[in-house]
Amino acid sequence: MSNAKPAKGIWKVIGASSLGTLIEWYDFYIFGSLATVIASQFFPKTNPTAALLSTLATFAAGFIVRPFGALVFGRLGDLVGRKYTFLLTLILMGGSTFAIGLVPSYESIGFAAPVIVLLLRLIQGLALGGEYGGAATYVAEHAPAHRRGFFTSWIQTTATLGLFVSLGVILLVRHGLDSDVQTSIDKFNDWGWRIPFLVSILLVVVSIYIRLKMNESPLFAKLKSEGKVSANPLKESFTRKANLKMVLLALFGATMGQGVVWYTGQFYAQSFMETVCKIDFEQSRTILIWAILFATPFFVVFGAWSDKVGRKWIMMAGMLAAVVFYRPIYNQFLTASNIQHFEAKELVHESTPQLLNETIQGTAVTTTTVVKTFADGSAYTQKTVSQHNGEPPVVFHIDKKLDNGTYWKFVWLVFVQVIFVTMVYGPIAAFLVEMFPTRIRYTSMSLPYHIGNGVFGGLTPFIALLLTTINTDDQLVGLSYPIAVSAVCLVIGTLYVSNRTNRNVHEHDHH
Amino acid sequence: MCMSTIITEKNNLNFCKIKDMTNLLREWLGWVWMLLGPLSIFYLVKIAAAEIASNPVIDTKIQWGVFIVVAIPIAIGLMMFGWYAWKGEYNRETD
Repeated sequence: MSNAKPAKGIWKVIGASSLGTLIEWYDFYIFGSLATVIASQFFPKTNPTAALLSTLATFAAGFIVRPFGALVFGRLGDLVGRKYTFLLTLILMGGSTFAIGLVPSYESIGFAAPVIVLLLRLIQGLALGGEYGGAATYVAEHAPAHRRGFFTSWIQTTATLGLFVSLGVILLVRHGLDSDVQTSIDKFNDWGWRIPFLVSILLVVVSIYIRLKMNESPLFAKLKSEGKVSANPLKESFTRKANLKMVLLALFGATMGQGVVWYTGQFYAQSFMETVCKIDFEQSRTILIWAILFATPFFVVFGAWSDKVGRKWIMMAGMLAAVVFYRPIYNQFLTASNIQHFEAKELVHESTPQLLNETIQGTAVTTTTVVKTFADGSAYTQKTVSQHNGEPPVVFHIDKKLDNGTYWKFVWLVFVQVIFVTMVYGPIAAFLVEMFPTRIRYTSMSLPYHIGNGVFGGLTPFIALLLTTINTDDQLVGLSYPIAVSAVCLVIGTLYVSNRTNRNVHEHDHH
Repeated sequence: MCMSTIITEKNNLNFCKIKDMTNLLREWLGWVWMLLGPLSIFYLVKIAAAEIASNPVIDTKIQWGVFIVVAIPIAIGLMMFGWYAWKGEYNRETD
């Protein structure tokens, strides 16, 4: 590619690639975001086998099938070309997402329902494993060398934007099915949850149409015309020492840390606000939506900056910031949502106590629910559970609604974390592309990316939860996992990764 | 012989010393990465066994089974990375 001017039609290339990748992330996330509703529809806990399939859908799709998809489609992309491979992943993802929206519930067709949903979820994981490497490679191979970071950073916005769109669509549908909020939520839980899945097909069809009109990557087309395409990309990627050591370096010196920073800044932050701080469902989601909206342009900022100063130090600075600032940030979450913070304010309304009497495991239990509203608009629900066996009552504070100032403080705290994400994630596509030769690029960069993002990142919520059950005294102990992984990745990346940018990615095709 | 674009002899000497020390650090840290692989698998299996023992249902077994199946090749990869580091495969003249 010319160093002087951007390649002709680069924006069409970016548009076609980014739209499809965004849709794939959207498709993948709506399943995760609607996990509770999907579980009630397809995986009833009363049926142990269905519950087992639910566990498989959760763990297998993210941890096994995604890296497997990276190998399958990476190989295909290096053999037949980028264009048709990431077209195929889009069709698989779009088709399986649409089909999930059509599967009858467990009540209607019984055991077939969870089996079909599990299979479709596995196809989603497989397709996602193949998509990113194709899109990043395709854009990078069209981009002029001196602006590769800038152009590929548009692809990097898609994962976060996919999350953003999925959250937005779910909130809109959840509230748009009836004028009464509770009726709308009930309708959503009953059948409305299918809409976000079905809507996906429209976007997929548009994206397929656009991608069909695109040409093959010029570097791959040249390689193919010269008969230099790899005969066995898997063997070449993972058995040839010169390449294998770069795959390992990409994983342990970059994508591993990127994965945990990515998941912590977005998913763990939301989960922490909901389960630890007990922030209201809608507020925790809109906080994330605002933070993502404000921070997303920084993917492009850091991607473009990496063209000038190199990829390495921007990514390492993002990991260092995560290591240093995660605990202070989450400490702020705890302090600002502490119940004493609410009780220091003027109480303006206290609802009539609602009493619920039940018998749990042979013990009579009374739950008293009161909603307290304060002068600045903040509120919380207090549940007092009294057991009629002489034990002292237990008080919970849930569904906390933050006042305006605290709400925006939370947006800021999540925004800062998403900035860390943009630092580690913005330049990484260009970084990975420049590590590997064209003939095995799709295969070689896809695997470390999906192990880093899918496995190391995807484990964040489970390990964080596990740590909180081991050490119940420290509410921030869950952060130890992303901090430790980022720290190890920071050391490896700082010492072993080179900051030199390989401008001419096609040059090492000749060695 | 150490090559450098830095022109003065004194600076060149300092640069070479730093470069040699960094490469030495890269090599010796290889042992840390080689040990970190089996160590992480040992702890993972230990935690998995404790978790399965405390809640011996099929869901727990599958969850931890998946974690271990995925973690073993990654740990082997980390050991290989350490080995390459120790052998000086990641050493270089400049950044």
